[in-house]
Amino acid sequence: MRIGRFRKSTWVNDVASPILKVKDLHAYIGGFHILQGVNFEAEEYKLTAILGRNGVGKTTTLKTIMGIYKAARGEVFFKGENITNFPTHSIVKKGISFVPAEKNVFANLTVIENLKLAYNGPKEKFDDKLEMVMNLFPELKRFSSLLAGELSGGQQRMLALACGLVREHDLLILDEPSEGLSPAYVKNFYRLLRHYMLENRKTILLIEQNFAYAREITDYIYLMDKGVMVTGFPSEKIEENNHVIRRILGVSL
Amino acid sequence: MVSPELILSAIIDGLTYSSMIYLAAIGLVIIFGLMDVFNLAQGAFFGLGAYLFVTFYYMTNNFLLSLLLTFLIGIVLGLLTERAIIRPVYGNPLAQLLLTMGLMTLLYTFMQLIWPTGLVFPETQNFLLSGYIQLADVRIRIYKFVLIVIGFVLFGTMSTLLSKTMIGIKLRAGTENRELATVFGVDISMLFTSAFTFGVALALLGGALVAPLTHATIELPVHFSLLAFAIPVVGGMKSYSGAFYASLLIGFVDRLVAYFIPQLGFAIDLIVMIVVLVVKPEGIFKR
Amino acid sequence: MEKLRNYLLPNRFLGYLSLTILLAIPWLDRSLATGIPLTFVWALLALSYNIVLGFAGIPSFGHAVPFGVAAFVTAMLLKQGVPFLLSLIPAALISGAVYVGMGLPGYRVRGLYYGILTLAISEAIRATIEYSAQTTVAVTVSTIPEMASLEGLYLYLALFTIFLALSLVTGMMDIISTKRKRQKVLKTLIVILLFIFLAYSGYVIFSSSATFLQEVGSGLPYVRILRFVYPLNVYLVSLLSLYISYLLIKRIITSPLGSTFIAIRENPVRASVIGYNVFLHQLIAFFISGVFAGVAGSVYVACIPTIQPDVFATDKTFIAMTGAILGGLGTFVGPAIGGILAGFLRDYLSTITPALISLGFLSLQQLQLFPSLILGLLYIIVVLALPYGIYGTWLLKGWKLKRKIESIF
Repeated sequence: MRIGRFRKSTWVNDVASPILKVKDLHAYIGGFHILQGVNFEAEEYKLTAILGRNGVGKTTTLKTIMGIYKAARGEVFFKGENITNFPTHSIVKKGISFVPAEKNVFANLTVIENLKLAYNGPKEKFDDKLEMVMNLFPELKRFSSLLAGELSGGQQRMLALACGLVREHDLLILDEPSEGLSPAYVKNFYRLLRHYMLENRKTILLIEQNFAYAREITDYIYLMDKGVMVTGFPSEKIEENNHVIRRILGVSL
Repeated sequence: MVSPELILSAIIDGLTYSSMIYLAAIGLVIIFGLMDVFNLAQGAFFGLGAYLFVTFYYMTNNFLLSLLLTFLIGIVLGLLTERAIIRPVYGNPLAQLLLTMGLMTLLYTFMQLIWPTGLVFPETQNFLLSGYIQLADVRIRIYKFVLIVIGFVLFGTMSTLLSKTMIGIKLRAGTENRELATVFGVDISMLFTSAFTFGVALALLGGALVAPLTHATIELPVHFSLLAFAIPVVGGMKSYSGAFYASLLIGFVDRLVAYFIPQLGFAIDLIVMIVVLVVKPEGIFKR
Repeated sequence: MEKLRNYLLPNRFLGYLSLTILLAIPWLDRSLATGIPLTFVWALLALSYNIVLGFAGIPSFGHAVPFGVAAFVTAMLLKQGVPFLLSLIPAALISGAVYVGMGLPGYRVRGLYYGILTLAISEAIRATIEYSAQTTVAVTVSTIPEMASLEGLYLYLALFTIFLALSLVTGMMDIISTKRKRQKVLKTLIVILLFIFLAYSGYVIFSSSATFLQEVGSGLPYVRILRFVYPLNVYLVSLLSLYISYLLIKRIITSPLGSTFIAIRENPVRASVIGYNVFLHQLIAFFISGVFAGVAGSVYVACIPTIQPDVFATDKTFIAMTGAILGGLGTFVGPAIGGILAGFLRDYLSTITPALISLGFLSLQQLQLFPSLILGLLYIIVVLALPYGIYGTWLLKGWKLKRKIESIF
């Protein structure tokens, strides 16, 4: 039984200014109807998380928002503007920074070149921005002249995230950012992320498969299954929705 | 039996030939590297450049002006081709091959139609263009050195462009991962159009540059088409530096064989290409 | 008996009819007899190309190779006095084997690279023969004895009669099986008109043959016999080879082997997992394609007595590709239609050049290139607009048009 087909107002976060709003999004990949009517919103200055098992369409949703996949039906609004099916680079220019889950850096470019490419602000400010980002990731600073392909897997993820941060953005979208990070580091990583968001007045949307620190880190959670958002609720209400969480994800949060 | 003069001649010819091949092929590598489009018409554009250049030279008697005009036409043709032929079938490699082959045939026919007997580049008073220099006992055309220098300068420019400029970074990024490049904010569509246009314009310019030496004949595009195709195969399909080294290899092999084993003739280049394709399809020089 | 019945089905009407008309053409207009056989050669070449690209899905750019090989082999054998048919068979088989040889690298090289490789091999062969040999390589065959024979004429007459009869019978059966009265009347009308035309053709054919044979009986000089009979026989041979090849190819593709080709083309990984040896089947496709390309090459010798290295030139491959694509890759009749169209444009449009010459600013030689120009443009337009080719698109989308026409009647 899909709760998601109910009227939106039962669970969508009705807010004055959702920075990102997705309405009835449909997408077909290779003939398969992957997104079957996705509805959700991301509130400004909050951290929204989309959780779901493998293959439900989380990455497809992000890529369709970014214009990488074609939206067959439905709409995407960013800051009130309809950006459905816009070319990816112009969506990026409008202030969305997307960090994909894999193949997210250019192996044939150096660390600095990756960051240079990602950066889209005024030239004079680049060095300052670079400094700031490098301070967040000291390891990258050490290896800044190496080719990205020569970095370790973890360092590449760091670089990918750094590229996401160095780009001028209001909304940061992350696809499974904790994947491959050592468990001990994950909690800290999320804390840093949230701190960054609050400090700099940004919005974050991320997707994960499971999320042990959900309550502490997120503001709002959506559960996705079979190409639709099944339900969504503020993170305080995690316990109340435990039965749904267990059904959709298979585990408790 | 093998005199030092002969060797000197062979070396100079080898370098010249390598330059010429590089001029014809570099556009192909740029286009394929970025867009995965194998422009079969590249050699035909090369030949067209030669014809146009000589025609302009007859009209203006000005080397640089003729070059410029040819280059400009190259840009126009590149834009037209990309719009009309490449863009509609983007993502369909078979259609691309077929269409560029059709374009190649069309251009050949067109050239045969307008200039059925080829076009001879006239003798000029210009020392660089038509003069000779005496080295040891050999009389060498100065323009060969000009071409050699141009080849190296082009290689240097390409390398600098790729490694030091923003365009170069975008080009390398787009070549590696198109989708990620768009996520990084690169307008890939504009990049494609620019790269394709530039590649075609470069082909025409290349043809123009070799015309004083080879004149404009119908064999020129046929000959250099296949040589140009061989370069990405031997040097690595998407390797810009590999294209240079492959040009050197093929240029030298061809000329040395032409000097010392003339019976093999033209076939040696193709044999090299076939061997490389079968033994190491990714190319010899690929990193 | 049932099987024979199959050949009389009403849906074969169009096929028999076209064949009969094709057979009649050279008798009605002698001037057409010399150019059309070459067009049939191109059609056959396109059909053979369809096997390797359309059915097996391999992008070969070296189709000129089996064609050229067969042409040279046939020419050389003919010069030695070997009968035509005995020259054709080994030539075609050798072509098949050579094409398999070209298919071998396909094990290591895929798709685009493979296309370039075949292009390289094709040009290498041409360049080697043309440039490296001490003298120009050309083999000239003055006359092929079979083409000068009277037996060919008898065969021609017999075939014409047979196909005329078949057309009539199937035409009548088609009318009988039509339900709607309006359609029935229309079809009857059309068949009657056609029959009048065919009867006239038959009259022309038999009467001119009768006159000719009479003259032969009373001692006609050899040269005049030749002039009458030779082009007809060449025409017959090329038409027959096209028709028989078409039937054979159809048979092969509709057999289990053919289905395997298509399966491999659609999804090679799946096919290999199921247990088909993909590479072996590709080689088989090369062999079959090469054989038929070889037949085309052999018949080419009958049309053009001097064989030069340009038989290996890429424009032969281009004609085959154009024909196959224009007509419709993967269909049966499509490439033949496309090949005829391509060949026609290539060889025939020169008849309009006299009009253009009178405009005064281009030479004859230059104008002969116009057809190629138009062909090239047409090719590009068709690839862009009609990805399934003319016949292919007709198959896919043409039913709408058919319904419309039928609903009027």
